[in-house]
Amino acid sequence: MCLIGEVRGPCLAHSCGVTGVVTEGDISRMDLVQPDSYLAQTQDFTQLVESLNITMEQNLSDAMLPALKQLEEAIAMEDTFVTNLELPSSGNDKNLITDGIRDGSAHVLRCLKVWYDLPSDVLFVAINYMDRFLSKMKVQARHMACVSVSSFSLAVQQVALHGGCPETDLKDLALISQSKCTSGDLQRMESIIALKLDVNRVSACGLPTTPLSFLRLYHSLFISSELGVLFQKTLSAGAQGPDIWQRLEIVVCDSKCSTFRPSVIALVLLCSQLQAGVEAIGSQDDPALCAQLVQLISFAVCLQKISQISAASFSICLEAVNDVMTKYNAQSQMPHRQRLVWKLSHRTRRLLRPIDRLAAQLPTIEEHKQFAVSESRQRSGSVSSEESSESEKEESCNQKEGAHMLQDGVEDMRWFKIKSYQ
Amino acid sequence: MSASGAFVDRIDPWGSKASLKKKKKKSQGSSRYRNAGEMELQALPYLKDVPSNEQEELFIRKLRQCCVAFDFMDPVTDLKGKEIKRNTLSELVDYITTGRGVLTEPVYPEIIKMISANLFRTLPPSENPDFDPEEDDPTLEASWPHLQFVYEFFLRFLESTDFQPAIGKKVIDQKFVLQLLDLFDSEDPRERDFLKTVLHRIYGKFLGLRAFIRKQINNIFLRFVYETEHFNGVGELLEILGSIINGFALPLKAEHKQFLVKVLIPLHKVKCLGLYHAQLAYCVVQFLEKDPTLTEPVIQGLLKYWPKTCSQKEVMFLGEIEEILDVIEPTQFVKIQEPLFRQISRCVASHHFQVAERALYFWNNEYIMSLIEENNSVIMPIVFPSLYRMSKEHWNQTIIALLYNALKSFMEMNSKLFDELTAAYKAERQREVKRKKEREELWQRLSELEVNSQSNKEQQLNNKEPQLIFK
Repeated sequence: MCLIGEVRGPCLAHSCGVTGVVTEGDISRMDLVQPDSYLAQTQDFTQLVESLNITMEQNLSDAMLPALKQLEEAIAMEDTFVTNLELPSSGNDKNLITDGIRDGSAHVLRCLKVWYDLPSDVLFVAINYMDRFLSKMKVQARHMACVSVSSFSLAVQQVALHGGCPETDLKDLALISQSKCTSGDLQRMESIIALKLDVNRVSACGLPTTPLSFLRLYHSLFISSELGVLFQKTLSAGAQGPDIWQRLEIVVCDSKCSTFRPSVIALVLLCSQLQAGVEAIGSQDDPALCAQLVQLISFAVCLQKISQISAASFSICLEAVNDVMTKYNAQSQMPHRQRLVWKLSHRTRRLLRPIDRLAAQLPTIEEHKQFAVSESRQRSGSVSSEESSESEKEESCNQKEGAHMLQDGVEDMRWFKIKSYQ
Repeated sequence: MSASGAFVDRIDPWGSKASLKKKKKKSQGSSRYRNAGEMELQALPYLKDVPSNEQEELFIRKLRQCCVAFDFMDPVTDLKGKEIKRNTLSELVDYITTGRGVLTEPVYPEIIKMISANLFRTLPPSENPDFDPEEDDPTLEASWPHLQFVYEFFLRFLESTDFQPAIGKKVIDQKFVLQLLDLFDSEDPRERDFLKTVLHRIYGKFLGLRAFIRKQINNIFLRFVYETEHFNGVGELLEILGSIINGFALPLKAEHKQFLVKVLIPLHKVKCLGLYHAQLAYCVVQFLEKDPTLTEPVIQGLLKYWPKTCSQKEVMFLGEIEEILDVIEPTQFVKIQEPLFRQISRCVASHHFQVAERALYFWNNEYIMSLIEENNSVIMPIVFPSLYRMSKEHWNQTIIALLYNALKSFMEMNSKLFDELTAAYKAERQREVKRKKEREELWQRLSELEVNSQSNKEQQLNNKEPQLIFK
């Protein structure tokens, strides 16, 4: 694949282009793409792209100009917010933060985002803060929950500041998240994170660029192109349930993708979903449709070039993203589960299981056999309930006189009195 | 407690019922009275003091002596006689416990006669007509000082190694058992406790009486459920049944399955379920452990009788469901999961916090969670809407925390399905908001139409042409 050198400025719009290369061979190549193994997907996609022999030449509409400009700016800003977090998978040190622990926290944040009905931005910004903080500071595993939840509340604050979400009251955040720290702890941690990441200064320029920002840009670019309608159709054909925005959240919650640039992640996921859509639609024998689909893919490649994403990083990221998506689509149990606390009211805890209230049961009587009394008979006399001490004295008086007659070790038998609920 | 204190308590609606009652002496009742002027009891020699060949005769004489009843409602009459009888009874208990070969054939009918004379009586009507078994203290049997020994004696008799069922069955017959069963309605829990053990032994030893006993217990329960809703001994009878069910041979007889569906399940219906729920739940679970294919009718029955207005009963039902789910087989679970979780979903959304709490606590049961996970594509869509909705609506902080736990567990179980359900719920909400808005707009237009038609009427009266003005 030939790499075009850096292109900058508004001339980008006119110099970027794609030749619609449609040959029989290419269409048949597309049909050969197998949906099963993600590895095959990766290889075939890059092969396909290579075979199309993309060059940059197309009249992009003026409508795309502002979005393209934003894209350029975002690419420029990317490095400021890149996370580049590499975590070990496991370690001997119990206090070490592994990728599993980080992922677990990320999913807790995702759940909190759903709980408080907040927009996706909050999650991406929070994870961005969390990852950058982790890469800058040495954090102990037992503080992970505090760090992640504080990042979350900081993110809510920042996003609200930029009008991305309503002002949300998070006073019960410490309780709900079960982070084992107080609101005071969270506030302190919030200010530490803000300090270390220089949030307040950077905030003036806007929120951190995250994969979400890039996905939005790419998405709008596609929509505003002449392939907009086809794009929507293809995307929804490949969706299989959750849409691309939810899928991006899943990708960013997985530390496999924490070393990639946000632009790469966004574009890779978009292409991967497009490919799924292409496979869903492309099986139809319609050469005109196939031609359009090829154009769609080549537009994606164009975006790749604008974003200065190398083929190598693209394919590595594609592999990681496909891995995450395969697990997601498999609908299996998540490996990193939150240790939840189950607090019950006193009343309910008292009578959880009805059968627990039974004292020793009567010995079993076999259906077709005679019952033989064993040596140790389990009960004899009974005393009245615990409530009335008066009659208890009465009873024990009576019993004492005959006590020598009755069996030793008389069990106190209380009848099952259900106390009224308070 | 002073009268004024009691009066103040009466004003306070939050004061407990217990504070209203004066601390009074334990109430006692009896239906046993003795006419004045009956013969006095004569003290007889001790059994251990007579030679062994005379013991049987003395034994019988003492037994007959003990057939004489005493009035315990009056604490001062016949103290000497009462004492003699008590000592005699006590001696007799010891005699058959330690003695060997004392249970000769002639003795059996005498024993039964003595027991019948003492135990079988019409139970006095309750002193407290509004007796609430859950709240009030029961009325105790006044003649307990003697009865206690009679019961003890009876028990030792049945359990004696010398006891021969072949002879016993001549005197312990259906009529005897029927009278025994009637006594289970006694308000005195000590008496019921003895009766429970006694009947258990009788059932165990006399195979010929078993079918009869089961039938009579059925009758008692059915009368209780469908006619009177009053019987004090349901718990004790259920305990006996528990030990019987435990011993059922496999495959289960049709009669037993019928009993489960026609008698045990309807027992859940009664208002005072709380008095015997533990024993009832135990019986139900025992049945299911014997024959898992009974799961479906049991769950369907419980769902049919699910309490609609009594939250305390609902909490009990949920506890029982959890006990059942603890022993359920996965193949049976699949058959009942949908209707069951629809009900659980309703419980989660209950405004009574205890009901919601108890339902949500299912999520802390590992086995139940594993069953849910295996079938999450069916169960999650049923329960999710309630969980999500209540997370926004509920007033109780404990419940909110439990709802979070439940939602988080679902998210960890199957993120993809969770995301789909969230998106679907939001979409549905938006559709509803839109529909609501359209409805309001329609009403608005209708009201304007009405206003216009009013002015049309006026115009008509003025002989002007009517016009329909549609905004």
